[in-house]
Amino acid sequence: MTAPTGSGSGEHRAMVHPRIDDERVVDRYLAGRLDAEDTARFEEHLFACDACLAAVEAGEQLRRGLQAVAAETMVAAETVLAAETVAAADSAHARGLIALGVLAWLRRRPGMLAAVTLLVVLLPAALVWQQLELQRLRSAAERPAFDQPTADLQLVPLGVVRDAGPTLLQIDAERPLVLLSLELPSTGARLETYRVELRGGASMDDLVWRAEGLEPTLYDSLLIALPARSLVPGDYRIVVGAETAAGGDADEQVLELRVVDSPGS
Amino acid sequence: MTTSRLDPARAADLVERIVAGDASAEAELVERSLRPLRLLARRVTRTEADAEDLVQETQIAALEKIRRGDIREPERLAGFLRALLKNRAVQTYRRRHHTAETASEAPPDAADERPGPLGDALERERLRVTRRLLDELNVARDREILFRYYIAEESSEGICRTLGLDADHFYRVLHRARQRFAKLWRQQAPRELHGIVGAGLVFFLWFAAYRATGGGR
Repeated sequence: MTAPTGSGSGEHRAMVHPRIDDERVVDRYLAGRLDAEDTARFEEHLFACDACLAAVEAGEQLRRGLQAVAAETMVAAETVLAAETVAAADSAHARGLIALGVLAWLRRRPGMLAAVTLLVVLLPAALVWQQLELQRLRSAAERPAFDQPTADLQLVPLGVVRDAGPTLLQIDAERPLVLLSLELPSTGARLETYRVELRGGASMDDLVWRAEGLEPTLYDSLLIALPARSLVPGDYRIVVGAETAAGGDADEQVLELRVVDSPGS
Repeated sequence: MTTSRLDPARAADLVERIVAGDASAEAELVERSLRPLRLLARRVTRTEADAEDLVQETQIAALEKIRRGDIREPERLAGFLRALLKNRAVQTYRRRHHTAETASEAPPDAADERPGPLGDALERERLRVTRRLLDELNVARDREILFRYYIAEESSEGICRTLGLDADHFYRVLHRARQRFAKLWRQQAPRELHGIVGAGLVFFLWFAAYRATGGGR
């Protein structure tokens, strides 16, 4: 307990310790919330009271330190002071303020800032690399390797040779696909797309396979891949037709095919 | 750390001894009044150097008045020192303001606002200790309390209402922050800072003793 200094009068009571503690005089003094007379009394008290002096010294240094921190990192202070606003503001604004606060926090920690910067740069790069790598693996899985045959198939060229009889196709049981190369007539107008029908059976009129919208290759032929197992031994007719731009049917071309078993089967 | 206690009885004793020509009493007065005067000076000046100048001017003027027997209430020496410091601060402000007005109407030289080497060191240290204190505060709300009260100068009632605190909790946060700051300050204040302050004090004590023994007259 410290004796009061100065003589109190009127509403202003002596600045003594029960009152100083009860009325939080140190904090109010530091915040500039004492009136002039109480300020004067308390400042005189500081010459006599080590405890109050130490408290005010520490508080004053703290206040100035906080001012320096706020001045140097204004965004941090704004973030704290705007806490109430943040609560009421929309979430985007709040996120912005929080981000500013985080940035201010990072500014005081250069090592952490460098790590975060590295992370921010590396993370998207790693994600992009991962996507590219996945794409590469996916397309590699879809694409056949070039050091292997691209397809194990029989190539059967079918052309119009008058009176030559049907083209003979000997099914190779080891090869699952038959590739028919249909030579288009060398005369007449080229059409955009063609229709192909494969007909077989006893009358060679049963539809076995049909496709429309087939585009010719650069060498004026149509390439058709068929499963070998769909071609049972027998005679077939391959009818190549098309629809003209005027809506009529173009001349049909008929090719003959004879399928026989392989010698080993 | 210097002693600061200057209660009415000791103040009366010191005044009596100084009037009687006791040089050691002058040195004791200088030492005991240093911390409170420095605290008050920092609150009315902008830079650390200005505060130090103001403290020294006040102490010199006080010693001269005491020696001449101008102190009518020796037990109220603290009030006298305080009033003297405030008057000196006002005079300094008026002098500078007048000089600036009569010189060229130019704004005050920015160099006047610079803290100087001692102020620089103090400010750096204060900033470092404050940041450490803020880092140590685990509860974000405690940091918010400090900023709202000391920087935004919101009222304690308003802060308590906004943050849903009772007054005891609020003041407990301030009290603990001050205590922790003081502890960190004692632990971390650089030795060179103590050296600068110590050298200034030794010089001043020498100067006071020199004047008391009739030097310079």
